[in-house]
Amino acid sequence: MTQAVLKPPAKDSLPVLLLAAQAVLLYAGISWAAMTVSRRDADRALPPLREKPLAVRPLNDDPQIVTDEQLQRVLHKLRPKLRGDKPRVNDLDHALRCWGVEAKFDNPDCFSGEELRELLLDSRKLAALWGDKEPALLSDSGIGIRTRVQQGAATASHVDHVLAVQAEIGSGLDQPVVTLRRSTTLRAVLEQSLRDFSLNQAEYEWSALAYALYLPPTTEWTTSEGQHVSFDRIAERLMRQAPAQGVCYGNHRLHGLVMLLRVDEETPLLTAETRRQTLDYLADMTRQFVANQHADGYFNGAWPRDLLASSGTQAVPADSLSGRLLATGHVMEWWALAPREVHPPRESLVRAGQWLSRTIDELSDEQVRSNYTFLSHACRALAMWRGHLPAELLPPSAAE
Amino acid sequence: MSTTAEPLPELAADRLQPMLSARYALGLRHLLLTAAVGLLFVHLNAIPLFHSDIWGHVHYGRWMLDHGTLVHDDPFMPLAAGMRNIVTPWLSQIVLALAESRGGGEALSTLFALAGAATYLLLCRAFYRQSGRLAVAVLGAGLALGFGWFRHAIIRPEMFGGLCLAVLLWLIADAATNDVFSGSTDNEPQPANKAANWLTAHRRWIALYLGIPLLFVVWANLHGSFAVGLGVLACIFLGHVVEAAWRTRTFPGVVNDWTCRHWLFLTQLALAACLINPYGMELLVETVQFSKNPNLRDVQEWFPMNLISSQGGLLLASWVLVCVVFRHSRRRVRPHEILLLALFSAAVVPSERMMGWYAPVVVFGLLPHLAEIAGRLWPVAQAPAETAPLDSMSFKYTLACGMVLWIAFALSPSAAMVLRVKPRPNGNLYSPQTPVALTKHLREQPSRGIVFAPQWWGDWLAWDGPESLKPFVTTHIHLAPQRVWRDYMLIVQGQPGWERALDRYGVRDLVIHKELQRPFLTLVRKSPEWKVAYEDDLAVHLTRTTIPTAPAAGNAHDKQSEAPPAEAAKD
Repeated sequence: MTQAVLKPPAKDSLPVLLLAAQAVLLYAGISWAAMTVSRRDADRALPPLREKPLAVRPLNDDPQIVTDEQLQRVLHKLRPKLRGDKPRVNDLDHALRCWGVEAKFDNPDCFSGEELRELLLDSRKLAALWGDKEPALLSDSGIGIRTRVQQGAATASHVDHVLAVQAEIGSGLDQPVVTLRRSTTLRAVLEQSLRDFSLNQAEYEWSALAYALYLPPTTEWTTSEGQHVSFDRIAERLMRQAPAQGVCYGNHRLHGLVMLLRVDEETPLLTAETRRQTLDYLADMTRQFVANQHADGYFNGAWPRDLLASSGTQAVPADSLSGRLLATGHVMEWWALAPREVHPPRESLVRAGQWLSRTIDELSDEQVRSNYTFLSHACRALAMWRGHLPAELLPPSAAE
Repeated sequence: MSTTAEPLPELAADRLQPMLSARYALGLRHLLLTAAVGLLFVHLNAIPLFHSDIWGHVHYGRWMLDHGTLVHDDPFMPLAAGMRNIVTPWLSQIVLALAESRGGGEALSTLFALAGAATYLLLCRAFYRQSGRLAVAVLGAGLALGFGWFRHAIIRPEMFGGLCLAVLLWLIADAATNDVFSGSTDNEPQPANKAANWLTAHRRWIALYLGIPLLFVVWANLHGSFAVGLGVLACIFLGHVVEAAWRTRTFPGVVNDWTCRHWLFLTQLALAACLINPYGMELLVETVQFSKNPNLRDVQEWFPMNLISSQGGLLLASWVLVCVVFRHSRRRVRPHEILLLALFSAAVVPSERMMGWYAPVVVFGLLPHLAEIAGRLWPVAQAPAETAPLDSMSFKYTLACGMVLWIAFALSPSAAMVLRVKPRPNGNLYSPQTPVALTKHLREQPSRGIVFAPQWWGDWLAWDGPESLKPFVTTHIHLAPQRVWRDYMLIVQGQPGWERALDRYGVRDLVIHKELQRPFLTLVRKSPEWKVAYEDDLAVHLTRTTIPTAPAAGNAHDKQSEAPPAEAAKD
C-alpha cells in the first residue's frame, strides 16, 4: 500500500525554506499581537486638550434681583480679606473663583487675584505661610501633579476643585505650576486628573467642570480603567444621585449640568437626547426648589420633594443660617448661568436675591469669615444676575 | 431422515438475515458502557440550573438574537457602560439562548446533560484508543470525572469547552495510536478507485489537518478555553521535539523530524484557526490578559487552589496517582506526558478553576501507563484469529443498548419536553439558591435606579426581573470598572462609608442574601435609612427611606402668604 507519508529529507541538512517560513510566521504573529496590545493601550491615551479654557458668561441683568447699591455693599463685604497666617486653601480657592485673576484691592488685607493664583499654584509661596509641617497642596506623582484633598486646611476641600477654579477663571494650560520639587505647567495637573479620573469616584463634579472647559472639541476619551467616557455619560452620572445628594446639597452637580449645557451651545458636547434629558432634569430640580422656598426668599438643605433620611446628618445643618446661605447662594449661581427654560418664576429669583443681599449685609465679620466659601458663591451669583463677574464691578478705587 | 444439525434446505431460506452490518452488533461491555453513559446523562440532567452566570449567558444570547449583532457594552450592567466587552463565548450564548427559547430551562438542562455525556463518552473513546481496553478507558473516564468532580456540574459555556477538549484528546490519541506521521501502512482493505484509495490512505491525515483547525475555529468562538487546547498541542509538539533532540542530538535532526514538523504545523494551524472570530487577534490578547483583571482577585474560583480542601485533596490524590503509576509502569514516560502534567499542574495551583481542564489532561497523560499496568495484571486472553469476536457480539446487546438509552432518557427530566409529561417543578429545575420568589415580587414592584444585589444574583435579576431592573454588578465582574468593584466590596463588607457609597450610585433598592450576607444584613437592618419591602427564606429586599418635605410656609404660590415679597430698593 502506498506510503501515506512524504519522503523525509536528509537528516543532517537544514531546511532553510522551512526555517525562514517559521521565522516569518513568528515575526508576523508577534507583530500582530504587539500591534493589538499597543492599539488597546493607545485607546487609553490622554485626549487632546485646548490651551485656553472655554469661557461661560452670565446671561441676565435684572436689577430687581439685586440693585447696584446692594451689589456694591455685598462686593465690599466679601472682598478676600484672607491675608494672615495660614489662610485655608478652601477659602483661597473660593476667593479666586469669585474674584478672578485680575481683581485688585487697595485693602492690604486682601489678596489680589494674581496673588491668590500664585498661592494655589506655587507650593513655595503656600509653604511660606503654612510652614514645612503641613503636607503641600501640590504633590508630584512622577508623571503629573496631583492636588492633595481633605488632608488638612492647607489642602483642597474637594477633588479637582483647584483645577476647576483655574478653568473657570481662564488660566491657560501653560500657566506655571511649581511644586517643592520641580516647575511645570497647569497641563501636568489636568493630565494627572485625567489619568486618575474614574466616572464613579466620590467627587467628580469639579473634574467634570474642568473637562467641559478644557477638552472641547474633544468629547470622549477612555479612562485608565478602560471605560469609554463622554460628556453624555458624565451628564448621566451627574443626574444619577438623589436630589440634594452630593456636596453642597447637590448643587455642584446641578452647576455642572448647567455648564455642560452652556458649553454645548458653543461647541457640540451632548447628544440631543442627553440635552433634552438634562434640561428636563434641571427644570424638575427648579420646581422642587421653588416648592420649598421660604416666604423670606431663601432656600435650604431640605429643598427636594423627598429627602433621603440621611439628609438630617449633613455636614451643614439644612436650616441653619449657613445652610440657607449655602443653598440660596449656590442655586442662584447656577440659575444665573442656566438657560431660561430651567429658570424659576421671576418672583422666586427676586425674593431669593433680596434675601441674600439683606442677609449678607447683616452678617458680622466673624460670620463672613466662617461662611466665606458659601458667600463666595452668593457674591458671584448676585454679580452674574447683573450680567457681570464680581471683579468687573469693582469701583476703580476700592479703598476702604 | 437426516440426523445432522444442519437446517433443512427448505428452512434455510426462512432464516433471519441481519439488516445491519455486523459492526453494529455489540457486546456486553458495550451494554455496560451504555448504562454508565445513560446514568451519567440522568445525573447531569437532574442537576438544577445554577443561580448565577448561566442566566447572563442566556440573556446575552437572547440579546444578540434580538438585535442581530454582537454585544458591545454590557446591556444589563449600566455601570459597565463604556467598558470594552470582548464576548468570547458568543457562539455558546447564542446556542444557549436558542435552546432556552425552544424549551425553557429544561432545554438548557438537556443541552448540558448531552454535552456532558458526550464529553465523557469522547474521553472514553480517546482513552480506549490509547489503551485498547474498554475497562481501562472507562476507568480513565471515571478518574477524569472524579478529579474534576467539583467542576462537572457547572452549567455554562465552559461545558462546550470541555466537549472540545475531549474531541481534541480523541484526535490526538487516534493520531498517536495509528502513528500517523511515521509512514506505517494501513491494514484496511483499499478500494479500487484511485481517488478513494488516496482518501483512504490519507484519511487519518485529513482527520487531523481538517479536524483540528475546524475544531479550533468552533472552540475559539464557543469559549476561552481554546487556550487550553493550544497548550495541549504545544506540549505534544514540544514533547516530540525533546524526543527528536534526544534521539538525534542535533538541531537538523530535530528540524527534519517529520513528526515534530507535523505537530508544529498542527499547532500553528490551530492557532491560526483561533483567529477566525469576530475580534481577530484581540480575542487571543484578551484571553491571555483576562486573568490579570484585578477584580477577579475577589472571586472564589480565581483563588489559588487550597490544598487543604476537598478539591485540593483531589489534586493531591491525582499527584499521588501519577507518582504511583509512573513508578510501576514499565512503559517509558514520554516527554509530552511530563509536559502536560507539569503545565496543567502549574496552571491549577494558582487558580482552582483550572481543575476542570487539569482532570482530563492528567488522565490522558496517565492512560498509556495505566493500560500497561492493567495489561500485566490482567492480560487479555489472545483469541485465535479465526474465531471472530462476533461470538460475544450480538444484536440483542444492540437492542438492549437502545433500550437502556431510552430508559435513561425516559427517567430523566428532559423526557417531559418530548413525552409531554408533567415537567419537574421550579424547585427542582432551579437551584435552591435562585431567588425566584424575589424576582416575582420585583416584577410587581419595579425598582427605581440601580439595584444593589449580590453579584452572583445580578444575572438572574436582570433575566427574570422587570426589564427596568438594573443590577449594580453581575457575574461579568471583569467588565465592572475597578472603582465600581471596589465600592461593591466596600458595601457588602459593611466597611465605613458603605451608605455614602450606595448614595453615590443612586441606589434605592437593596437585595441581600440572608444566609451568605448575614453580617451585611444585620448592619442594614440597624440603619434607619432602609426599610424592608420584601422578605422570604432566601432574600431580603429593602428600599430607601425618604422623608417627604412639605412646601415651606408662605410659599410664593400660596396666596395666603403672610409676608409679601420684599420690594426692591430703588437704584
